[in-house]
Amino acid sequence: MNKEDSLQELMTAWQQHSDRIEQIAGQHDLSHIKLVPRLFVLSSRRRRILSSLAMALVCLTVIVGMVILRQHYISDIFDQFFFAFLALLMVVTLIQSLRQIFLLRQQPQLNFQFSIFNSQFSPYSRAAVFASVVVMFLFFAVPIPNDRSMSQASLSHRSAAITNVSFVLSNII
Amino acid sequence: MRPKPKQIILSAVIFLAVLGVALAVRLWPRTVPFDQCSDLYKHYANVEGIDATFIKDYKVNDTVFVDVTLLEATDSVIWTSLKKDFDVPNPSPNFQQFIDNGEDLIYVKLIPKSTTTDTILTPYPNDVLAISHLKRTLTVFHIKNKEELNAVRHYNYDKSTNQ
Repeated sequence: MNKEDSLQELMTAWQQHSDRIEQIAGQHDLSHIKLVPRLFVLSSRRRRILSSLAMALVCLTVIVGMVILRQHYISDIFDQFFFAFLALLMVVTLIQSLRQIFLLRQQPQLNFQFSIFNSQFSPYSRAAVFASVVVMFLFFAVPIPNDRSMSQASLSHRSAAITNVSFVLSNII
Repeated sequence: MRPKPKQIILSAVIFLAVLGVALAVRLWPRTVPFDQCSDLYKHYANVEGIDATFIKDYKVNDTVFVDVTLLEATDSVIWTSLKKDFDVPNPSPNFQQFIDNGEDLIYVKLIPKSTTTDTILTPYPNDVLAISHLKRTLTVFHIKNKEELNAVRHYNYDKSTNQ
């Protein structure tokens, strides 16, 4: 038996084997079996660590930005809720990333492949990161309206007061 | 791995929600708590016949924001008493003629800050008082430095030179 015959025999056996697997798969629903490669598990874990750390960093940056911007606007309950929410989110994401780091250290190391890691970012993470960047930009770019912080809540009163002050400024002699 | 349409829609919704919340935080009208308003506002807030308003960080130009207290008298008796409080003289006959013709000539004067705390906390000792006889309104610009003073006093001049 030469090499070509051996190869032909092997291919036939492989084809029969494949046909048999397909036949079995056709008879049973095997969709619940999910084989997750170890590399994917590791990259997924690293992705979670980076996502959590990035989120914590964004929260920290927004908090610092708010502290600086607070000299330009009044701090009220709405602000304090937002502040508390950011602080809580930062703590939760930091705990999450520490947990993932702990789990990662318990697993055997494989070579880190950044391309796989990068391509595994979920659309939600990308949307969240993009939104955070846009929000940061908004905080610096969107002008604060003149009637934002006043002693009176009624919109008509606010509008009248702003018109009055604007009129006074424009007509000073 | 290509994202599914459902994932894309949900991501867009997340993005818009975050954006909406940020805009609301930035632009939502806020009511300044009473204890954070100016002393002048606190003094006149509950006086009958005077409509007092405090505006935090009124934008005078791109870099200058000043706190403003607006006092509007609802009748002539209150207006007379308000003028007395701030040593505002009655208009001269010429000036009165303009006012009678419906022309509102607003003039300003510097007044000392209303409390000692204000004087100590801010390096500039005076506030700017703008008087409108026609509207029976006193507008006090709470000045913290020379730049703010110039921005308020030269508002019309700066506006015309910037155009």
